[in-house]
Amino acid sequence: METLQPADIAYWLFLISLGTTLGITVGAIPGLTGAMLIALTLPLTYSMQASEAMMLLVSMYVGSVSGGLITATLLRMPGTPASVMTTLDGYPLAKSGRPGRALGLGIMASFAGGMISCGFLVTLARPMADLSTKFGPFEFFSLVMMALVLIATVGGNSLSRALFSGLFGILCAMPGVAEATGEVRLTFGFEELNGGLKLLPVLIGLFAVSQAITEILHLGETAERIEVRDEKLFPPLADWLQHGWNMFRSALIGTWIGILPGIGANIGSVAAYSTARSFSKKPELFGHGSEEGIVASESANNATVGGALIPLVAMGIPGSVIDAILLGALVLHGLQPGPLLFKNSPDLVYTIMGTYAVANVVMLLFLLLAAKHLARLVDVPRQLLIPVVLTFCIVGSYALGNRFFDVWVMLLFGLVGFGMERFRIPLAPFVIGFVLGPVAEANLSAGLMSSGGSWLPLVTRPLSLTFLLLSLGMVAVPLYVRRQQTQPG
Amino acid sequence: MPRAVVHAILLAVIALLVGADVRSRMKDEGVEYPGRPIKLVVPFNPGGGSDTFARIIKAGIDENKLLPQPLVIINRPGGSSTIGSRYVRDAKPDGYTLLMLHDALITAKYAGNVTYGPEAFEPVAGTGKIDLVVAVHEDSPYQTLDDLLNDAAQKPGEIVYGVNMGAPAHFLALRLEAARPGVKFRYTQAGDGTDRLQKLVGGHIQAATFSATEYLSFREKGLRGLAIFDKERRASLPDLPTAVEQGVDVVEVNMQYWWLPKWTPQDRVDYLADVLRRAMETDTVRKKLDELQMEPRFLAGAEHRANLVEREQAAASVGAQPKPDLPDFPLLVGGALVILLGTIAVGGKSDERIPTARFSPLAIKRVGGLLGLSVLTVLAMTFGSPFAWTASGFVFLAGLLLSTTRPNWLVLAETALLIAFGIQFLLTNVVVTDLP
Repeated sequence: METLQPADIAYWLFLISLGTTLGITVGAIPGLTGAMLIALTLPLTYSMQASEAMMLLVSMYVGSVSGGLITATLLRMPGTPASVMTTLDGYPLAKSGRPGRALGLGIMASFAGGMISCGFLVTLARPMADLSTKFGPFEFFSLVMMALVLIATVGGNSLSRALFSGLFGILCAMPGVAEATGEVRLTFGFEELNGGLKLLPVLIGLFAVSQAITEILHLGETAERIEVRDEKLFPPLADWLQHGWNMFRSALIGTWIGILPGIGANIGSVAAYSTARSFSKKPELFGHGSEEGIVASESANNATVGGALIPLVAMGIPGSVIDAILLGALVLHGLQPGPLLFKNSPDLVYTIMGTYAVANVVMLLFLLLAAKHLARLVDVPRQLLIPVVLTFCIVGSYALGNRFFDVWVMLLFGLVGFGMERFRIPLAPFVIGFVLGPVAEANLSAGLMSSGGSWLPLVTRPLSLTFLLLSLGMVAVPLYVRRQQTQPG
Repeated sequence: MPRAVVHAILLAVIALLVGADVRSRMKDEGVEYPGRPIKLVVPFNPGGGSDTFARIIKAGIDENKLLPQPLVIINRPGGSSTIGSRYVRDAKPDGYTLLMLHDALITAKYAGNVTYGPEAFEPVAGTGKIDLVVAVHEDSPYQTLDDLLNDAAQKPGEIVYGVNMGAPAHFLALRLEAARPGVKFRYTQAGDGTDRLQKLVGGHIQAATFSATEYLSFREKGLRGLAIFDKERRASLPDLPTAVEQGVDVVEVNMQYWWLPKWTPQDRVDYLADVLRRAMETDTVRKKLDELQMEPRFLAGAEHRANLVEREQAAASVGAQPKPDLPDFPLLVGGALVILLGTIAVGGKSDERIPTARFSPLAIKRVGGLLGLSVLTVLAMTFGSPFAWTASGFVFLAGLLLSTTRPNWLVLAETALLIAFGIQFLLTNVVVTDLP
């Protein structure tokens, strides 16, 4: 083991601070999301060490989930989808003349949620990785199927639209050389497609370009901002104690929802918020400036980050859209995500965990210092912001493979993403399908080859059967419930 | 700070950045090969034998400064190494994209996975020597190669053998089948060495081929070697008998070969061959290969080409293999998509309707204009328009297009130049990547 140099530690702290502050800034600007920032930063980390790249990217993840609370509280605009629930109580509390208190509680809960889920990340990841080394190809296939179904059922309103999105993602990942046989398929004569569609141009297009188009359509709309005067932001110890249980419960819910593949911070925050309301002594305050509501929402959405990192480092299965990008980052930096990541690159796994903890601390400090001023970021003129973002999109998609083909792919998927949103087809299942489809196919192929073409092991192997039954249940139950609702009596 | 001061500072920074660009453009002219980082494509996952070997050579080159530019390793796994090899085959023949791939480049062609073989590349050199090992899990009943082959002859097609379809690991097993009549394995795609190890330990396959380097590093994780396929035992594995010793007449030794795209100028091929030769002679490489008990063999030029011909003949003798019988996945997914689309269309009435928000014609014109502008910009860059100037033009024009009020020309121009030249500076000086 090499000895740690002070210069190295300083550089690492710099990277984490940079990542966290950039993440918070982007999170605080409505219209810019963490997924966008991380996808656009990834090409820049090309020449970095894998561990340093992960420090930067993971801290951006942490920051971007936290930054949304500022605009949610002061402008009634969730900076990121993760803080939608914070808007409900944060804004009324701020409006009633206590903006500092609303921000302070949000910051406190974000920090606590992050640290609690960090504890789970450290303790749960290893056992989960060990468990999954027992998985064979059929188990992995069923697990991936479960992930795909899960995101479709929990993520959106319309099951068929979400499933469509997921399957469309799988189909888009298919052109190129088939993993199992080495044959080229679905390239329609484009030699450039032999390597398949790359994750990053597709993601940049889906999230950044389509968002830019939406922003242009809404140019000229402004929001009213609540000014924070010299209130003290850091909540006193009494608050920490009073909200302790709520923070812990919400963090637990957030972590658990984060672990489930494909569902992001917004669902975690909704679940914790409703739980807090049903346990609350004053449920009538929710939606009118309830402190508990702010705490539940912010603690949970930060906790999903740690939760989502668990299946990522343990099994190579992304728990959210941003995790899908982080997965791409691991591959780009020559690391194989999967159950053996712990064995082959333990340093990297601990780097991710350590970064997560440190980034939470940086987030706390930075928000306490700067939250009051960050709300002004909304005033950045859109006509400057959008062209700059588009320039980054072009550079980002080009720099990965040095091919203009990827830039065209990015622009095309910008239109695809905009079209999908227009027709209310959620984007998240597409990304998860795009990332997990090839994994599912490779495992199913390997399984079928080892069973001599028989599909039976899918249901005769207990773990595989369990996963399949769970996914079936997840489709059947919502359908059943809906049927009951539409047929009165 | 007064506004004028801010503008002055901004303009000064822009002047510096533009100046740096102009200077580097003047310097770039007539630059000697290699003038930028060379990409080394390794078509396997990190941690495997090939990747380890590539990183040893890279360390030898870096530590002894044998190349004036960095050698960047890019792992492009998948498709039994054909994804990586195809990438290099299709790369520009300018000497900046290098492939390191062992006999898989030959076997992939004879397995029918791809239509090209060594003839589609410029062979640079052959380095190192790869021994192959057949291994089972330590709890396996097979103690010798004979045990495995006898059982495979008694239960033809039942013992699951993990290979990379069409790769040398697969061809070795095929040669085993040819050497002992009646032996028949059931092959399954098991990716690279780490993947095979995981599947062996998990009990999903019963036997697999590893390179000796992989075997040495995985041995403690629960592997038992049955045979090695050189003519004699290896010094580092004195207890591992050869196949010949066990009465199975199969000798198979691979090498790591280095390839450039076809039509790369010969002087660049020779230049890299020379770098590799000197790298193989460095203490760094010698010491690391010693630790792995790997012979520092080196082949280049005519000798190298003759060896390749020989290897191709050996692969041709086993012949093409039938494709594994797998369902047509794209068709399945496509079919499911069509069905879902039908469901959405039919159920659409009861579902929430598509949002009917209408946008002003002006907003729609803006979107159209911006997309057109983006397409023009990318086209211009494709045809060699310098990046920074094109990008600043794009930001400036797009900003004009999107302005809802009277545009502030100065701010717009400053932003455009600052962003475009800033990105260029960042990408060419701070993090080293290519720009359009």
